[in-house]
Amino acid sequence: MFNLRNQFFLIMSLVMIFTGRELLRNSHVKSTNQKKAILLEVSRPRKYSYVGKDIKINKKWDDFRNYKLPTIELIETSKDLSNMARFSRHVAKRITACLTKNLCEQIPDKDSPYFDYHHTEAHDLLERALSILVSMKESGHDEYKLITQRELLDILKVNNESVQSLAIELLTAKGISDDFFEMILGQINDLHPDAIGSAYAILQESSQLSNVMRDKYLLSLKKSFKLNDGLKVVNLARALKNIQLEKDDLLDIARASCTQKSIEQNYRVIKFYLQSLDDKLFLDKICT
Amino acid sequence: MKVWILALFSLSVFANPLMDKQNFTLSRDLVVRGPIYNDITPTQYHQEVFRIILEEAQVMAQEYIETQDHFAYWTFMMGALVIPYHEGRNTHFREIENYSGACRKKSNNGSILKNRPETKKIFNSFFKIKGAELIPDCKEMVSDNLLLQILHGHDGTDIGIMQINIRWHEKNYISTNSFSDVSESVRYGLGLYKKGFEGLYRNPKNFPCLYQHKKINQKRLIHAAWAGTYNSGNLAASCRFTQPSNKWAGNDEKFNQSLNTIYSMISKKIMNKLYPLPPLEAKLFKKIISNSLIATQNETIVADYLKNVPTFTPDDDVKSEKELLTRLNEKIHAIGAAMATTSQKINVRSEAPKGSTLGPLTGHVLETGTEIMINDVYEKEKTPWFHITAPFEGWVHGQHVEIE
Repeated sequence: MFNLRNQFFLIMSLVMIFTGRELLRNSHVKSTNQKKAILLEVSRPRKYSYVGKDIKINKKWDDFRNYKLPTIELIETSKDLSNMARFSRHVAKRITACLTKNLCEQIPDKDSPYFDYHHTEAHDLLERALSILVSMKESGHDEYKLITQRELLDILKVNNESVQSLAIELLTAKGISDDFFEMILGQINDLHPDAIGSAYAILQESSQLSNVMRDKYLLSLKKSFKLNDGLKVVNLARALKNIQLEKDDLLDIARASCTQKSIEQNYRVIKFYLQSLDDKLFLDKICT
Repeated sequence: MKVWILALFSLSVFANPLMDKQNFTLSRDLVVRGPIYNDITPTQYHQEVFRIILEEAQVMAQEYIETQDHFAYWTFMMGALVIPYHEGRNTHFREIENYSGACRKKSNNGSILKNRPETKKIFNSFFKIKGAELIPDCKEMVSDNLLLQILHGHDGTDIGIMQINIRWHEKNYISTNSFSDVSESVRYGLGLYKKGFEGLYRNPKNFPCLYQHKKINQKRLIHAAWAGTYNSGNLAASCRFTQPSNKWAGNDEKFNQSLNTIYSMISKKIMNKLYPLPPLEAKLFKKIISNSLIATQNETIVADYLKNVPTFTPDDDVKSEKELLTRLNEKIHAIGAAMATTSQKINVRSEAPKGSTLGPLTGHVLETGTEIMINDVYEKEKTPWFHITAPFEGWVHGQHVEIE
């Protein structure tokens, strides 16, 4: 009996020691994993940490951030458009500031080659904010006017084609002064290659407000056709169908685009679009 | 019987056996569009994917035809065939027998993404919504005889035939449900490829790696367009494949193999093994390769094929989904266009929306009561968008359009 009891205690002690070790080992694993997880969280920028807590706790954030919800539907179902416009403007300002400062501290994953510096999650958020404001404009709600033209000019510095196109659309929507028109033209050649064509198309209406603005617009357009960037020039040629131009202006543009003659493929595209607007315009003759 | 056939096909799905284990198993509640591997024969599957690629690439390459840039056209088309082959061996959806381990726990519960906290958050917020999980845990599907799966990359971060990154393309690809449609997935991926292609082709002198014997080399242009914008998200990285010590040289080596494999499809034996197609498509594929090598003018072969060979009938689900716009679509299909009138002033945009973002304005405005001619419909949202050809070309939101 004694022996049996001793044996029982011995076995129980061994079990306890073993279990304790296991528990210890497991707790070690757990704490290492937790440390790893914490390290990961610290070493990578937390999702939207750059947005700021004030934005993330706002009731509008969930709908704002829900990309599955089209902006037009978001506007239709929103009970307080002023608040949504204020919120979108606030997000746009915050994101623009951090993107221009340090890309909102976003960095590529170490073990993945993919990272588009001009199209990150922060760019998506900015694009969303502007899309909401544009959708307000499209639905006939004036709340979009909360965002100022000065703020929109700052947004134009963010090198992303959708962001820039939406910003120009908002800039011109509420009417534009000579000064601002000139400021946009001053920045236009620095826009993303895929935004420059639509920028001129959108600005066309404003350019017709006065002869001075029209002259500046045409002068700027002709200058842009002389840019060294072949993609920008080709995109401008593609946009010409949306810009009303006199024959003389087309001829000037044709002359300006001769700089692309050495790049045959670009020259072909420019020639094609110019001739589709004026079949008597022979680029080969002009660029001899 | 079907299960046996599936099991046989399953063995031959992937040239790379590792890819056999790289799948998320999808909820049956998800409506998917496009061919499903194993649901049809491999030849039928490749035939459908081949057609989808050509359809999407042809639209994107239209300007090259119009400007008679034969080199750009054939190069772009060849790249369009290489990329889905390289990224996913043309596989997007597949159906398999539910044997033990067929549903990969690690994939479906998201633990494959344990080292990618940002991607995992997006994965959870989109695919693991309680009560409406698009990728349920495997235990939820134990009673299913067949599983519907979608390909993912080795670490779970990329998805589908074009291996689109879940994190970086959340807004315009994942949130729009584009992954549930093979054509949309191909379109999205080829859009990225085209961005890289144009970035290089319009400023070639900035990228010396494109040149061989003082001319732009076709294979180099395809490789650079993939290595830069597609694989790196960075045009400036396009020439990385010429630097053997670059960190991603392994990726480039594999891409080069895929590139050469597609060009070697001119051999019937290789094509039958890796890209089985019916005789008509096999002949067309070979012609595309041979035409690309000499940059011939004969671009009509692809257009003729797409025009004369009927598209594949969509599933019943898809049909019912489209019923709302049947009348309009019927008109468009019958006479190429449908007339409509605007009920409010509308801006014309140069592109359909990208995800939830509106396309850029063309500068044209349609006044109330303007007659418009519609030739295409984009039905991603509750209210469709219409592509119009008159009085201006562009896209308008269907909210204020009255169909006649």
